[in-house]
Amino acid sequence: MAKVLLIVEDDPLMSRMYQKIFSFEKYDVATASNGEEGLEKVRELKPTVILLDVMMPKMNGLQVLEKIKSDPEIKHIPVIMLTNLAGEKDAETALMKGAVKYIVKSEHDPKQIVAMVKEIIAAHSRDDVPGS
Amino acid sequence: MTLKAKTIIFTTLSIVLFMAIMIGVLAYVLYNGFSVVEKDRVKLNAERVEQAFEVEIDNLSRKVSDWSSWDDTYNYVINKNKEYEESNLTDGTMVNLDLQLMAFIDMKGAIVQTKVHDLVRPENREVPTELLHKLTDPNGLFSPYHSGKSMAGFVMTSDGPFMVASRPILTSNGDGPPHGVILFARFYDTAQIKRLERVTRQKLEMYTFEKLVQNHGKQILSELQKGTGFEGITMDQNTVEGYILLKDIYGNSAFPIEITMDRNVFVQAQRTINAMGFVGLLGSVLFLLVTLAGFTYVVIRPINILTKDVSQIGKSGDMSRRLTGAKTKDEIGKLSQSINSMLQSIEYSEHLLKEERIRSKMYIDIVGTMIVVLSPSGDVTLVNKKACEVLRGLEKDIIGKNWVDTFVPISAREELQKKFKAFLNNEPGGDDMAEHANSIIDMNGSERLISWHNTVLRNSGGDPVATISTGEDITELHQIELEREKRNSELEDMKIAMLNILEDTKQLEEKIKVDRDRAKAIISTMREGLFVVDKDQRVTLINSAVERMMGMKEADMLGKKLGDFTSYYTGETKSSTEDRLLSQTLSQGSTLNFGLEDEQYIEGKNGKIPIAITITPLKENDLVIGALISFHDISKDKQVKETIEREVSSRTQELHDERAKLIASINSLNMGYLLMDTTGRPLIANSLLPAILGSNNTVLTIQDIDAMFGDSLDLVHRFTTCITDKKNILESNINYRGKILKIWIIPVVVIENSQDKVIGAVFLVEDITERKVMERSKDEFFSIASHELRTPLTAIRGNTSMIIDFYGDKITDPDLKEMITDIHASSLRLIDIVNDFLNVSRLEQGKIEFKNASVDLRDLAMESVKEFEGSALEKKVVVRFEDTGTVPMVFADRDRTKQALLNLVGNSLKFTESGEVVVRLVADGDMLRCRVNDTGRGISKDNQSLLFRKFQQAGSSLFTRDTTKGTGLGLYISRLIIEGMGGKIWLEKSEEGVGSEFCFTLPLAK
Repeated sequence: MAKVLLIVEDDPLMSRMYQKIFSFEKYDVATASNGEEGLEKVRELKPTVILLDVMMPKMNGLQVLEKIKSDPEIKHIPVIMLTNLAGEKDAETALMKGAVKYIVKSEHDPKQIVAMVKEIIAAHSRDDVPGS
Repeated sequence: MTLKAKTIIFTTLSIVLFMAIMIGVLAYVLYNGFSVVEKDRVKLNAERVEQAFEVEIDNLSRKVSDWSSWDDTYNYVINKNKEYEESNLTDGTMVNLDLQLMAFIDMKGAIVQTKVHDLVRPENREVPTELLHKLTDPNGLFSPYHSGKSMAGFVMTSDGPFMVASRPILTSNGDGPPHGVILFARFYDTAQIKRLERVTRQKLEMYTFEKLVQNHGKQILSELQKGTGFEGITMDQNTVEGYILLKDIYGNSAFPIEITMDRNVFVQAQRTINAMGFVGLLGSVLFLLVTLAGFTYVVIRPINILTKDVSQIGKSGDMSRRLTGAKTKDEIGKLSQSINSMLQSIEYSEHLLKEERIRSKMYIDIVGTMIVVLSPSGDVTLVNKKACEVLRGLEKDIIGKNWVDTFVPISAREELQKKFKAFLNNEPGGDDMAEHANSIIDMNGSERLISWHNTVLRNSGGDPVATISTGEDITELHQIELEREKRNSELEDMKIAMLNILEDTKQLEEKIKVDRDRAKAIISTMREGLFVVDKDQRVTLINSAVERMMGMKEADMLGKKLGDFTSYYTGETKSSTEDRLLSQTLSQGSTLNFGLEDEQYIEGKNGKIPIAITITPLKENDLVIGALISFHDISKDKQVKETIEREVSSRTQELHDERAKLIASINSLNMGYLLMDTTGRPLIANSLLPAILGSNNTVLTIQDIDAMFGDSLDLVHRFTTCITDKKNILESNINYRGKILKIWIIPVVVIENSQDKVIGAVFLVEDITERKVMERSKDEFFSIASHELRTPLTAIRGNTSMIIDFYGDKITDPDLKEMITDIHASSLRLIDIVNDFLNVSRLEQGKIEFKNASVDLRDLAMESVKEFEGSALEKKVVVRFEDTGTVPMVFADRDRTKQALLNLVGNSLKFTESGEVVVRLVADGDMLRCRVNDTGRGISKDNQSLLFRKFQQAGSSLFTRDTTKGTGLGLYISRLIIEGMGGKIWLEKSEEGVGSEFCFTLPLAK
């Protein structure tokens, strides 16, 4: 079963780039361009993993994260925060609110990000369904 | 109280008592007796009244009997014929018989006929039904028609009592059978009683029970009912009353009758008693007078005579006299005889005593010391001849006098009295009386000093009877002693006085000498020239200053006239001798004074000198006898004055200049300026002040400004703090009417008497709104720019790397591939630069928070070195950590520390082409030092100082920058990090071509 990945990112440059690399890597990729839309897509698609930008219009990433983690239906989905903010404060806040990882976009090549996501999905799959 | 008075009182008392008892008994017996008699009389009269009632009833009974034993009546009751009625039952009949009711009742109790006659109200024909009912009630006690018996008596009804009588109706000869009963009734009212009163000649009144009880209480009623039916009561002094209770026909109480009588007997008894009392009183008084007269003649008079005689003998002390009353044979006569025989014994004893006293007096008189005997009260009872001599008085004048009051000086009396008393009573304080000396005043008033020896004579009970004092006149002895002492003391005083005089004289001489020397010294050392001249202007005294100023010897001047050897000028004009100031002083006696401005000159051999001069007249008894001229050379003073004037004017000029500069400065200030005194009152302000504060008022006090700021800033309080604490006050970032202001209050301190004193304060206000906005935008520029740059850079980086990764095999042209790789590398470098900018910006703005904790720098060093292994291998340079075992933990932010360390090692590696980069950790006091050594190209001395500055690369200008080596921010960032954590970073050493050593320290964790 193909892994469904949701990218919530307002900047089309970024969104397109991540969409590409994950498509290359055979993921089913869905995108949302703001927080509200992101939250809707999460509820609708129940993706395997979510890449969530922090700075977005309408609803910022931290708020979206909060909503996800307070909804029992979707709160098990691992959320990876994507941002350009190098501030530790945001990283800490996000991790405290239930994000599994915090990735500073400019620090990594897309391939490295894919590797990180893979690792996380692997970890979560092991927990979810043993042996699959 | 005299015997006579006592007798009068006792006699009077006994008479009064007797009279009281007598009258009391008499009154009791008589009054009671008479009362009984009176009551008996009343009773007697009562019985008479009672009899009168019986007679009345009998009369009525007889009348009814007449009618009942009459054939006509008998027939009438059978046939009820009208003739009987018309002829007999008339009003006239009723009036004659004095009846109210006449009734005929048949044997069955039915009423046959009635005749009613009301005397008071003739129209009333109403039968008193209650009476009839009572009489005809078949169950009543009185039922005449049944028994056929006659009845008579009272019947009570609610209208009042009736007297009734009835008989059965029979024929005239008394045969029966009776066919009915006839009844007569008479209403008994006050009128009837009045009639009875006349019959019995008694004062009667008919009573009801209520009235009786009301007047005399229930007691009398029960007494009347249970007794004989009579009770007597004494009403008052004039009347006595008795009551009888009349019975009705049933034998019950009918009504009481009151009988009132005058108390003639009682009044008589009263008069008798009064008469007896009067007679008794008269007799008593008579008795008293007679008794007193007799008593006085028989007892009092002889006693008085006796008393008088005895007291005369007592007063005269002549025991040879005898009482005259001894002749009578009564008790008083016997008393007189006894007294006479006693007098005889006393006369004899006295005679013996006198002889004894004369004898002892002789002894006493022979003695050469004073002997004085005092009674316990202090009276003199005996003195001897010597004592009389000393006291200068005759014995008879001294005896009997109180010793203390007579001979002791007034001032010592009280004290001596006290001591004498204590001495007599053996009390403390009297001990020294046994032997003592005191002054006495003799009869002539002169004082003598006597030494006494005192003894107290006591009776068998231990009480003092007398004191015997023997005395020695020691006045002369004492006088001689005093005289001797006085002489000695006078001699001593004289000696001291002589010595004092000698001493004083010596001191005075010395003082005068000193004064004179001092005056001389003063005159000679005076800078002032001094002439003393007599009234002829001849010089009598000169000091050395004159010699110096005139250029002449003292000898050439003394005795000469002043005008002979000096000339005097006022300005350019020479004064003649007569005009000279000295002449004025000598002739007018005035003091003259000329100073610096007066242009006075004197000329001697040294030429013309400007002087200040004072001429003072010398006076003796208001006459001018000469003058004192003192003067001094003012040529130097004049120069000084000119200099000062010049100085002052130039200073004033400077001051003006200064002020102008100050005003210009203040006005050119880019701030509002206000100089105030200590109360906040404005002294100087510039035009910018109201402009900044937005006020139209150019004169502003600190209080005004405070008011403009409102509650946001308490300026007055700060101003006060500034003044009192001498402290600069600075308030930044004050929001005021849309502006941001910076305010200073600076105290103006001057040093006065080596102490700081605040004389005011300067208030400065600067509008920093623009600057603040600028600063903020500059700070934010880097931050925002960096953020905004990163996203497109990330896109470039990501996309180029994806091209290389996923389409690398499709790009066959090596140039194209290289171009893409370069784009990727450029984006990486740009990201680094942007990161550095962002770091710097955040560090500078203090936006980075150091999360300090215990950190193992050894771990960190190993980690960091490991990160460079790859690139080091490429450059064939060794990067290593020289591990020397565990090191103390440091207190730092792990990630930031690592960033700094990586930067240092990275830098070293960057500039090292061969050799090695070594990291070492060494202890450095309470810090841990990290050393990074390399064998790189080194840094020239010129560039070392700029190493840790912003954008500084060693050995580069803007045009020679090695852009491949980074932005030049690395060391600057490292410095900000290390210093932010309390450490230091520096270049330890560097030699071009040999290598460098960079160090940093961090504080140890506690």
